[in-house]
Amino acid sequence: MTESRSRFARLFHTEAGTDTVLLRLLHSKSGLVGIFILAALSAVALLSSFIAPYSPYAIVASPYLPPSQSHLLGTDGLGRDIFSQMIYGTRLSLEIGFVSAVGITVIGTVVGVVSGFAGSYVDEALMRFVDVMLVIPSIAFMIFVATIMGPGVVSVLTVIIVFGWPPLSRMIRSQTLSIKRRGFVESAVVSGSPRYYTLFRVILPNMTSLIVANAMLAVIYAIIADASLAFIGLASTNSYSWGSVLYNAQIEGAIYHNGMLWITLPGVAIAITGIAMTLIARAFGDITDPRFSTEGR
Amino acid sequence: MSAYGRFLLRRAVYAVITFFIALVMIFIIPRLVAVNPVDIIAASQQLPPSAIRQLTVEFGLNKPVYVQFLLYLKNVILTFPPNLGFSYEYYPISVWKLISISLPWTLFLVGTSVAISAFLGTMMGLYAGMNRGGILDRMMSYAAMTTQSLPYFWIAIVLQILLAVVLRVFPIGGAISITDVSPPYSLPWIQDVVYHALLPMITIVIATTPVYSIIMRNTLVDIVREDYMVAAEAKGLKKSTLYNTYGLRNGILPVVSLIAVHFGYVVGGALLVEIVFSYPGVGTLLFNAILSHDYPLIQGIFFILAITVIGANFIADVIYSYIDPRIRYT
Repeated sequence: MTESRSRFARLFHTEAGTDTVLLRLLHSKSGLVGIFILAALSAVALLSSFIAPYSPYAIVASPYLPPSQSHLLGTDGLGRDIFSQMIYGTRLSLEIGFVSAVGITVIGTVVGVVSGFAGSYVDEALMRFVDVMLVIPSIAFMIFVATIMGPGVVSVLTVIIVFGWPPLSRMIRSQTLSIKRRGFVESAVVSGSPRYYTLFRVILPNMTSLIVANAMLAVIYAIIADASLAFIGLASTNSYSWGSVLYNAQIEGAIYHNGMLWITLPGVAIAITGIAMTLIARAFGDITDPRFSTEGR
Repeated sequence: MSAYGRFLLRRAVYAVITFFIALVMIFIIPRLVAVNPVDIIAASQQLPPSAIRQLTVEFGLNKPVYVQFLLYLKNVILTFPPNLGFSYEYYPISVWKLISISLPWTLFLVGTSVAISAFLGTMMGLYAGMNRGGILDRMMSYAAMTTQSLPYFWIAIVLQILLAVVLRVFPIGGAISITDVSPPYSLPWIQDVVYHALLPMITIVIATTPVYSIIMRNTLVDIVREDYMVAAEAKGLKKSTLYNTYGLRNGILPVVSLIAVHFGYVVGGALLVEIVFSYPGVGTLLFNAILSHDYPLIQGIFFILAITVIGANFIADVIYSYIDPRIRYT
């Protein structure tokens, strides 16, 4: 077991510096489980057109059929296959999750690092703005903006990113402040490194695992936000995500039409994704900061 | 002015600035996206050109933008109750009237749930921190992971199916029974209201308790290492005294600040929970407003939510500074 696992881990021996973290991630139980679930979900997303038995938009049977051999989750009010909608939903939900996570991570990291490194009025201005963004009820404002922009993937991505980066930038800022005072950064500054070099080549690499861990959590934040927006009727109507499947189940009164699986499974899918992301993020966190671990002292 | 007075003043100024920025956003965003509210109404209600012209004048959209902004400020700040316009869907009822009917329900739901889950979370976190690696500690960590990975209205749906549809222990939705004729605030009325509020409240408590308990627990992990804790332990104090007095009093601070930071998130989630249970609060009002493109109502709801959350944050700041005097001098 240990033998095969370390063999698997050896695949990731590429660059010095990053390999140790990845290695330890694969050695930790929770990290391994998380990566396995994520890989399985990604496979479903990539192969959705092969896995799904029907087109999610095609009317293939009578409405509100209960789950059966040919329709694993039954059919919706128009007679479309819900299982196929869930499979295609995996693709859109993961896409929204990862694209938003990239946006959030980039903006949050840049603002946080610049704010922490520059200090003085730049820091003050950026952090006051972040304070405002943190106090404003984000889901409510997302709904407001998405209503105005109209339903669709672009407006969903925009609001998720716009309201997603502020908490991350706070965290990155305080980490930058603490790293800034350490010896190796001061040596870099004294030895005459240009500012961007100190910032992006000396300080930033020391936060890689913090950033990656938070990017994982951003994925689940984005998927939940997308589901919430879809649930209030603001998702795009011409493509399926887990959230829009849930929305349809709710407005078509699934609980009265043999639709228990229909209405519960989208949430289960989101939860499984979330748990995978949290496990990976936590494994990253434990590697860098083992203090809060529940796995022994 | 005393240091405490200066502190309060500074927080109040921040709250006002935040509120002002929220106002500007509510004003600017629709114009940034170049959406003319009149077009939206015209499209959804099929108005004749004369009505469109009249609406444009009524909204002041024929005036320059800065005049529009000043008019808007005058309507929402200098007028009481704020003039938020009229709802299209429920015309001639004003937006303020609709919101003032539904807001108390939401505040009741959120206020009670947050109080319950903050209490439960603190106690559970305290216990888990005392017994690190124990059963509750591990379970709590998984519970937090699961509830943080779910859109929390989904918990509402599952509870609704289990307890209201299958087991029929609780009502499916609403805030009071249609058959209830007892006068408001009488005992049977209160019982009925509590009975209807239980499922939505349980949902919010399930979703938020683990967050508070994890914060409490992780704070304790840090506190245990402090000199005063080591000294107290060396003095021979019982473990329970040690945690219940020293640990609780110091560990509760981050929980209080989390309640403030978290409040917007809880309100946002509560809006969606209300929709699941057709609870007559702001969430359900908003849902119907979105369905019927009731533009002034949507805008009005955001105005009220911004005030509520920013106000709650300010109050939390004041409470926080009251229980932790150190904060006043930073």
